Amino acid sequence: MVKFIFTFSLLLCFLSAYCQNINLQQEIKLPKSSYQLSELLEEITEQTKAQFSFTSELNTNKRVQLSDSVSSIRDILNQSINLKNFKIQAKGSKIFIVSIPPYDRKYRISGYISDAKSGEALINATVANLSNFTGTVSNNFGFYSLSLKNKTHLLQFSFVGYKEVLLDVELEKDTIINISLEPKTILQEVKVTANERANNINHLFVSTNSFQAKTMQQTGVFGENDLFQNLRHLPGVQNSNEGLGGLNIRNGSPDQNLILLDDVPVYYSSHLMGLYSVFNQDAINQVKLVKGGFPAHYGGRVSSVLDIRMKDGNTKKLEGSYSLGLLTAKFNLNGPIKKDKTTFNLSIRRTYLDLLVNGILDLSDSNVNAGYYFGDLNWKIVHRFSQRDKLYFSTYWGGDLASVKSSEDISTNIREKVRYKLGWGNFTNSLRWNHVYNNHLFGNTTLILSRYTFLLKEKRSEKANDSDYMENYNHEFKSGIRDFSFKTEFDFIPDYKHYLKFGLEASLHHTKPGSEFIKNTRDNNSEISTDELIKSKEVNLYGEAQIRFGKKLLVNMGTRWSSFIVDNTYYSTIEPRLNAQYFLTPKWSFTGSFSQMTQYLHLVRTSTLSLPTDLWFPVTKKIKPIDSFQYTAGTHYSFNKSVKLNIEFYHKLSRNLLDLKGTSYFQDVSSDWENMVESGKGWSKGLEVELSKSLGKTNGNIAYTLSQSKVRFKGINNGKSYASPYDRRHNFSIQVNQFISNKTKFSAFWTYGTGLPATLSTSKIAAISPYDPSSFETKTVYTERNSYRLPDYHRLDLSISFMKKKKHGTRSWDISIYNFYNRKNTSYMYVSFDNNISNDPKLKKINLFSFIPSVSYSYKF
Amino acid sequence: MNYFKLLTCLILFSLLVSCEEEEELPQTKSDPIVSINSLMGVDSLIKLNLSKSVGSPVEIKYISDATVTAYKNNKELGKLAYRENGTYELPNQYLESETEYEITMTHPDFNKVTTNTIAPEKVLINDIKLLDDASEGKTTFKLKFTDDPSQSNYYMLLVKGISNNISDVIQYYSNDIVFEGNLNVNDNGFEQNMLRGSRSFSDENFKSSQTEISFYILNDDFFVGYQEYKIELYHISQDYFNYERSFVSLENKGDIPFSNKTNLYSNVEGAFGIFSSYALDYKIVSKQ
Repeated sequence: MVKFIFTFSLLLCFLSAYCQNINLQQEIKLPKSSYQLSELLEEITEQTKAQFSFTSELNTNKRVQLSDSVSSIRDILNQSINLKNFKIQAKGSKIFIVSIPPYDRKYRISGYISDAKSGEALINATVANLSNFTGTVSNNFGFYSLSLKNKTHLLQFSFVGYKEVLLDVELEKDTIINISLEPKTILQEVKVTANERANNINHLFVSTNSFQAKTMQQTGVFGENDLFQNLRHLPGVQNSNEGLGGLNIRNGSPDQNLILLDDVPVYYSSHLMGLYSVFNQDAINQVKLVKGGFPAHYGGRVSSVLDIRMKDGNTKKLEGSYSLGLLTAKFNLNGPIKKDKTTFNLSIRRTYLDLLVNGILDLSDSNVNAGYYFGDLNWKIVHRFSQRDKLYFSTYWGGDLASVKSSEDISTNIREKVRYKLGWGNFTNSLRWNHVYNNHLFGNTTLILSRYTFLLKEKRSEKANDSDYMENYNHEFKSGIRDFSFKTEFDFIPDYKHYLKFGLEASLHHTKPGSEFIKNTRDNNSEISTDELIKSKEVNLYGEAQIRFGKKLLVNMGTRWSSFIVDNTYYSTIEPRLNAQYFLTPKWSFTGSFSQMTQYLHLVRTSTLSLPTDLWFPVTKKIKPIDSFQYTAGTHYSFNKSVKLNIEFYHKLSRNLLDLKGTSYFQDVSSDWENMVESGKGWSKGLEVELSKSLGKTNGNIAYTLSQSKVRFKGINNGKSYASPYDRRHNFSIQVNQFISNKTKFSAFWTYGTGLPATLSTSKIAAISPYDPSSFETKTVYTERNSYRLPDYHRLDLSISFMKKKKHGTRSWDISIYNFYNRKNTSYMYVSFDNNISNDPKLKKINLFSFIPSVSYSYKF
Repeated sequence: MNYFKLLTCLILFSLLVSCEEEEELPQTKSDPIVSINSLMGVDSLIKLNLSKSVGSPVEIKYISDATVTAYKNNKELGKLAYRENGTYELPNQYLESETEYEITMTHPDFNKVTTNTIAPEKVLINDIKLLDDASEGKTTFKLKFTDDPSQSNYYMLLVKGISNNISDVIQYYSNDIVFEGNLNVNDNGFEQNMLRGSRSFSDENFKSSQTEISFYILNDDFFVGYQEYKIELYHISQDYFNYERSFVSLENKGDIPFSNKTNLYSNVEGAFGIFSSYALDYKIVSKQ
């Protein structure tokens, strides 16, 4: 028996030794760096005893140059043999170098897709292989990569608003082809040249809307063509107050939107309390809004992602524009510094409201001098070092500044002069380096600086009789947030069925809830200076893979690992993401998604509006990060290339949302904020329907959203759930653009929405006087949160543009009317206990922005 | 910090094209809620006032049939007796400093309510000086007292004008940093707006325990010729401090649009109101 076992074991050993494949990872040392291929194979055989077997197609006479003297067999063979034509297999002690049949050989086509006139990168342009209806899209830098078999293919390059390019290609090696697409003239009819199955690309866009800034049609208050106004015609997007208050996406608050400008987060995205966005249309190339089904490369906010890409600048010629409106003046200049190598783009915008106000005050001989303006500056410079390397530097500076100067007699012989300055703004910078490592791998590395600052200055000086003014009070207050980030991201495209994205982000957040300096010389008080800085660190790792299963199913699965450290408190979250699209027919698809998002920064709001005084705070031990879990399901039908119907359902659960406690009042937000707020839960659900026509003389869209949003906080509203501030049951809008001729364009926009929730005080209590405990006053109280509704909202906006070609460019007159039928939309309502005749309290409603006509002139050269 | 008022001014241009409409008030949607009011001084009787929230027309509705029990350092002191106009009192029990008091209220129509306070210790005024600067039209006071640096302290300062044995709380101003700009004479500052007029302060900005505060009254402010001024220094609890500031903040907020809809500060769970305490020291100075 023992003998049998021994013999059997020995036999097994032999068999195992016989069957064992040669290890291709085995390292060998090569005495030379250059070999003839046959000589190299012999060297390997000599050192490893491996025998090579190959066909006569292999050219063994070719010279091979090796980079390392010590390398694995696989690395040596990979360097020596064209893997497009041969594959390497190890079996037993033999290494087979097998020829791939010509029809199975795969080559790669890659390059950049751009606008033929301006050279601007076209983001999400489609590359479709009409031979087998596969394809891909260009990434955020216009780069694409597609693998094709060794045969003739008909490739279609297309982008909405551009003429398609059809290209016959027969690849014998990896090829770089940069494509320029010609913009269509505005009256060009829709002509569908390719089969709709060309849409079967390897990219998935769930709950996403993309558009180019130049197609923005919707003018806002005072005629400014504003980005946020253009987003509000999309389903699921609304503003909480008329013209004010930022964007609310799928019932989320404005601070839950991740707004990226060339990859840099923008913390306060509005001018003039939300009337305008900070994004100047002249400076923007492409906008992408993601409302759900978030890919893993996005994170940090729980409601939406607004990814804005600035224009690189014209690569062919110098061009620009200027415009004058009722409130703003704009100027843009862009072009090549070195043709096809270096470009720049400069955009400036400023209001002249301060000049108008001061002029009026001067005329009235007032002792008060007051002014307000906002301005923006966008600057971008792009340099192409080679086909493989590009460097981008973009910066944005924008801010609002209000100032008041006044003087008055404070006693019989003393006059006091007071100066206030109040300003806030963003300063963002990004330095990005694109590198095409090979035809499969695209990399982008970014350094980011983002700063948001709120500043208040108050100076007082006094003079007695005819003496000079002496400063006796100086107070400065500053708050804000500053981010320093490093981000590196890779697109790996092994074949047309797979698209992988992975990367790393590391950020330092410096939050300044308030630094203060007070100097009061009037009463010989010493200076007071306080400065608080909260430092936090955030690290994110993510990876996602888009995989096509057959021709009908496309899946994007990914994970984001986010971690946050502040004051010895550590949070870490794994955020799974899954999106899927199933094509029932080439025109009809179903989508579904799940995504978890985590937000480590909270915005503490000082009013019901989105104001610059609102402060960002990182999470603490007591205040945990916001988590949201969103599920979506939808169906999408393309009637043709222009007309599309999208229907989508979403369900979102959020936890650790914040709201002000019932008895909170602001004294020192920076130190008391944790005690002023309460954590709770929220849930929203909605159905979005959108019918759009993107091409032709008449285009536009119809959007309808049916939604419900509730929140619950233990210590608010007696612990009962109540409508969230952004709960709008019905939201409907229709936008129509009509090109009357080559020179004239007419637009109309009508919107309707159920009234937003409101909190009203209909009760009073007796309150003891803090100065005299024997006396009482009555004070209003709010017992139920958001238990009332503002009246329904609707309005019609009209605009018409007259364009004319001039000698050096195109001039345009834009006339618009906001709220054409003068609907009195209530922005705010409250109970007034004024002493009126009946002594009964009354409900008062404030209506903003009735009928507002405006006109602007612009010239493009 | 609250800069809300300035920001509201900034959108005035939009209000130029806006308008206001008036309508009848919708029906109240909530049940009445209890309101407890008690600010007790050390050495005074333990008492409180009970009422409930009301709709319109405005009329305070007192609660006279509640059972109110007082506790001192977790030991029951007894039931408070109802007097009149919602006032309940514990006979012969006087508030002692550095002592914790708790009360519970039960009533068949309302949930049980509990609240408590720790009575502070009196802080003595060390010195008060009066400077009559007629050329500037004002009378300046300099108050000295000793702050205990081992704990966070909260204070309130009241000035009363005395004429014919009748005293009135009068307006005073201060540029002293302890008031954080809330009492600047012509204050239209943005930061202080919501707390403009607040007479409470904390020891956060004190440089040393020996504190001197400067404040003044404007002689033109009064029609009455006061012969004396009574300067009252209240050592108050943190709840009292929050209540005073919240009281002032609500006054200043008034009907400002878009402001947060919050209520008066309360340390009573499940009800409205305040149950807090103070210790008072005062000095009377004659007009020069």
